[in-house]
Amino acid sequence: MKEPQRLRRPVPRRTRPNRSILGALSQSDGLPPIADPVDGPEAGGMHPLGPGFGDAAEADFAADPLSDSAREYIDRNVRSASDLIDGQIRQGEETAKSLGRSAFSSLNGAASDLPALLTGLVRAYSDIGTAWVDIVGALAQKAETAVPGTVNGSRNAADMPMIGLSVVAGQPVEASLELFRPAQRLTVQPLVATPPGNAADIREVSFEPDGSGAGGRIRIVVPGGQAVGMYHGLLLADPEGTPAGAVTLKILTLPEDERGRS
Amino acid sequence: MAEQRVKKVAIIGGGCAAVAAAFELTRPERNGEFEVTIYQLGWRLGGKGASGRDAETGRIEEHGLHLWMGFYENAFRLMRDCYRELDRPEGSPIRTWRDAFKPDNFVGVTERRGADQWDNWAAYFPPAAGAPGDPLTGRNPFSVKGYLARCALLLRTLISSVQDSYPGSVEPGARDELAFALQTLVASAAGSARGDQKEFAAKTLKYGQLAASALVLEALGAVRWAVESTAPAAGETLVALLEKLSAVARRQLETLVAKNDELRRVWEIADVVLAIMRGIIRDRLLFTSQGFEAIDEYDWREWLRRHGASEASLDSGFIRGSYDLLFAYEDGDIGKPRLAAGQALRGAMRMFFTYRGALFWKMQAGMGDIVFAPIYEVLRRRGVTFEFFHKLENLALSPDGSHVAGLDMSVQAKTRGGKPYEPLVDVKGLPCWPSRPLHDQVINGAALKKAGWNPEAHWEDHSVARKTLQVGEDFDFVVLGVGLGAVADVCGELIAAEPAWQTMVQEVKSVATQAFQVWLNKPVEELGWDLPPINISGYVEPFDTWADMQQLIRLEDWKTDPKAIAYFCSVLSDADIESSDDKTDAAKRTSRHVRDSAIRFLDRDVAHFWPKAVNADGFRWELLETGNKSRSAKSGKARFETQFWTANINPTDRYVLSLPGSLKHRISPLDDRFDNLTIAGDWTDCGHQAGCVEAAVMSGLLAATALSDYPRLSDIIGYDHP
Amino acid sequence: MNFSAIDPVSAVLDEYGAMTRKIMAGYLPEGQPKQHLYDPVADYPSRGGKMMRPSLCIATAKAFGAATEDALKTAASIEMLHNALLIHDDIEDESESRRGGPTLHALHGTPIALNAGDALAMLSLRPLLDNIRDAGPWISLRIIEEMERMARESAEGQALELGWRKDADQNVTQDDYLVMVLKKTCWLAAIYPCRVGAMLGKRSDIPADAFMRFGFFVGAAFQIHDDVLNLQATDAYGKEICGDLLEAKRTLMLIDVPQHMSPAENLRLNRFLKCSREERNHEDVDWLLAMMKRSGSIERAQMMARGLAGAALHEFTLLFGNLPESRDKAFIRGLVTWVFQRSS
Repeated sequence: MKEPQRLRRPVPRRTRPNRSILGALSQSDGLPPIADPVDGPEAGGMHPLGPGFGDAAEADFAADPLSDSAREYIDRNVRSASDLIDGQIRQGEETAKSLGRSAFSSLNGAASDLPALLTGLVRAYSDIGTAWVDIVGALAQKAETAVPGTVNGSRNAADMPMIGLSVVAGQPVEASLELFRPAQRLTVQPLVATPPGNAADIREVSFEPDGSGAGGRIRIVVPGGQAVGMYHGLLLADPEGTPAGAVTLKILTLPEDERGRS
Repeated sequence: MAEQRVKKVAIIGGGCAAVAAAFELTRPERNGEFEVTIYQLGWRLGGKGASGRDAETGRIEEHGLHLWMGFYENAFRLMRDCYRELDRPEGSPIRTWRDAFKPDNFVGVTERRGADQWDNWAAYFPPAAGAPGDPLTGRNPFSVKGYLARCALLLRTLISSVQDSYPGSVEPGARDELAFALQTLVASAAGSARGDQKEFAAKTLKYGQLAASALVLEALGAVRWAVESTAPAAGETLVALLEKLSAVARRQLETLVAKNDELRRVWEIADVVLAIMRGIIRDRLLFTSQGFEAIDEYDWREWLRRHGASEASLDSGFIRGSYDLLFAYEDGDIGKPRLAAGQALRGAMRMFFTYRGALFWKMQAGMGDIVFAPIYEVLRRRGVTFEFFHKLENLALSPDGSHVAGLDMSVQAKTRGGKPYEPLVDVKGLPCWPSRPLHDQVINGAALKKAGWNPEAHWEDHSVARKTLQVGEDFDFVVLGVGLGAVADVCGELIAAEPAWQTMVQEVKSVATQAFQVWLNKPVEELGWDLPPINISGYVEPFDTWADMQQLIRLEDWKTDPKAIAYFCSVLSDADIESSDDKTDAAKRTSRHVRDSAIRFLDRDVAHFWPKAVNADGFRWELLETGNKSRSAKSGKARFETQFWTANINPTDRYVLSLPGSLKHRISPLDDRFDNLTIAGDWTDCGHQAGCVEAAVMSGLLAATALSDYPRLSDIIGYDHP
Repeated sequence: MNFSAIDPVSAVLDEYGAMTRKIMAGYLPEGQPKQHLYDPVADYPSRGGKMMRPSLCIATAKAFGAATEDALKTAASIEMLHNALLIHDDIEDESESRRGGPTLHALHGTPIALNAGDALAMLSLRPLLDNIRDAGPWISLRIIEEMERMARESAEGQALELGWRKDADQNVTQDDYLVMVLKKTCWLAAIYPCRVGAMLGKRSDIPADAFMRFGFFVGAAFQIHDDVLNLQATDAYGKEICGDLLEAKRTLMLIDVPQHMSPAENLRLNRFLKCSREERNHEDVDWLLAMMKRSGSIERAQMMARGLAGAALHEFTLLFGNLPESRDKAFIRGLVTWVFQRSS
């Protein structure tokens, strides 16, 4: 008589919890509505592009009544699909990790060196006076072709706006500018000390467009006696107000005495 | 299709995890797919949750304090299903699950002010909708974003309650700075075109709130956007501005709270909540697939400190209580508080933000009566076989190390006539477990009783028979549900065969605990306690936790009912555990040590809760209710001998810790290194990595999934959770 | 009648489609060999099509802040690759018609069509290389990496499906189907266009799993809906053609229906699956269709597609929620449900 086969456990689908924030289907949290919802002015009004846009299609889609069993079927199956995609995502991550790198690393190393490269290009020491530096919008391209040490801007690609950085300081400073995207007009946020300490913000910041309408100069005036340290200021593209870049200022040592105002 | 052969499962152990697995595997819907036998040493189920009844007074004797939280969805689901299936008749003292568990909305914390000054603080947590174990709607209560939003709401509530009590307390200068910070925060976080930013900022201030919460909520969406881009400056600026905001808020509050204790407590909580939010953002817990596990290498206080919580907040009763409730002291040494930050965060979030019904639920009798007796009855009815007095000595592996081939058991006692052991006794109409074995059912029972036989003691090796269960014949699958402390002893072969098991037994640790119970002949109000009945933590060591148990009075069977029952418990340092070759003697000495600590506590420290229970000479021992008349002849300290205390030093009675850096070494019940074995217990990698009933039940469900691919992991609530 | 005013999705598809086609034309060479290579290469691109993939890429890029011109080359590349894969799909499916005309291999024979498909796939790289000049080397290389991943996933998905077709015995579950759809369809149709669009718009990298859920839900909803439509398309006589059933293509319905049939019916189904395509006849197809209708498999598949679209809308809010309202954002949102409002 044939011996019955020894029973084995089923192979587990997974053995670890799925802890990602995207791990559950419905991100609606069941919270009570917040008492003071801070909506923008267009909330509750007509879509700015007029009727026919916005949520009409979605509303129709959502308004269809579903039976309970249908809803339950959908919930269950969509949840299962959701588990599935998470599993796939994780497999992708794990494969990449096992290969010893992020799935999408490539030039990450080089890219993060660009700001450093630019900082080197832009270094300015001054007692009294200004340092005026050209920085081109298409950074990557510039870094490819630039000769290290060249400070004044070379020919940049046509159509790229030129953004300049002008720093007036009575102390040695290092300034750098990083643009995420080309922008023609900018608003400069006050430079805030990082990490926050007792240092006051550097508020004399401005952007002066040049006559052409494309590009201009960022101007920063560092008050005398400003504390040593790092400061960051965000650059917002006009008029959308979306971040377009950041300016970093490092103040190196305090002045020996109180002279050097400009 | 494979033949539908019944699968035999041997479950070793009878604690929460083991019985949860048994309950799940024998659900009627499974149509008898699994035939389950539970092997339990000694005379009662329950493991660390076992309780017994004193033969004379029917008083409940527990290992310690067992609290059920309102977020124990899986555990409550189990209990509700059990009570429904049990269907006790009208007139039973505990008939439905709502008779068994009652909501408790007060949590208490003691605070130290100076060397010898303590304050009691009772917080009322509002009842929440529904009850734990209710079906969940399609909505997900667990998203990290949801927690952050709730933190922010909580913050706003706390701070605005301060603001409202003290109008005009905001300095004019500060307000400008705040407005400026708000504006900059909003502008720089602008991922969306907010109409008029100035107006928005002004509007928020106008409502007199410090706006931390609303803005952070606003910023959260933007943070995600900003942090996702590789421009580090944007993320840094945002965190910097958040910090600026909290610095401003802090400065304002510090002036207020210096004088007012109530406010200070509020601020300490707000401070911790801010640190949590900062930590979640900075450590990118929103974006890692590890969720909160990413910070399990850190200690809870250490992590909070890194993210800006002040020392005062870290020493608040609130934080100390969280260590006390989890006995989070390495080696039982209160000088070594250590708690994995990720699990602490998870636990805190679940506890405060996902409770249903009430924050705590109190059992209305001993845990054995409320949990294990009903489960036992249901399982019996379903056909589960129970083998009491069976102790596992060794798990034998197959020669190729792939599966468990044999279970070496020691039979501690046999029943007369070979009949099944009937373990329950009736106390006032309620089926209960007795505090001692029922000797008259056992062969040689009288002699064993006289010899003080304790089959639960880990050194007790009295054995009437040994047998080895064989795979294929006696079992197909094994669920190892013994406590962590037994694993090193019984799993030697597994440990040798599998490095992960070796690491696990080294790294996953436990502590011993101590507890005592007193029955008093005056109600606590007359002893000077004027707050509602409470569980309170954070007090001196030992015995930092006190629970008022007056709900048990009616269930015990005293000739004269006591007027108050109090449980005290805390961790027991390994250093205080006596050891010697004569283990019985060592155990006796440790027990005496606990007794002496208890007596000292009552003399010296309980005055803080019960000022009237104490006079110039110390504790008023005559307050103790002792039962029958001959015992009441004692007076003074000796009267304490009639009460109940315990040193929980058996390895399997030790409480499992969540030490930083240890959680990654836990093994999951789903792990299939041994193809016919799964494990269950609050020491396993079960999703909620802390010693509690919920973790144990989850692990039991996972064990069932391991054997049958069901329940689905997404149905185990809280398993997939940041 | 001009429906554009009421149907913003179509209007955007038309506009971006036209722009993409123009750019694409610049990348389809006109030299020799003309008759046997470059004419066949240009054939499918010239026949039109919904242009959903390139439009999604452009719209995502713009929603995240790019200008239209920044995304056009990438969009053209996507459409070229899509057409290349269509050529191969048609060969593998042994289809006869595509977009109102005969399939390429029906016109030119399989060897020439195969070669043209390969060439078109290679040519689709060229616009991405040209990106370096416009978007910078760093982003361009990232996009090429994404394309490699997408191409690999598509190939794996196609292999899965071909494997099932080859082996009628293989038990395919709903999860298997979804994984296949994810790989074969969703990457090219939605995940990749959105990912590279977002990169172009933000000019920065994005998380490794960004848009995967959204793309999966949207693509799967579309695919399932497509599969349902296939069962409803009729010929000139109003008779249902059911090309997929003839193919025994593993769809949700085909996976679901065995669970609702008797053992005898299952036996008949298994025989049907084991035949070659020529051996299958219309009686069997009609019978299978009737089974699917009777058991509610088709309805359930439709519900699933709706549910997935709902999930996609949710993901949309997470991904795009903070962006300013714009025509592009409305387009992407509308796209999720648009396919359900059309019957072709």
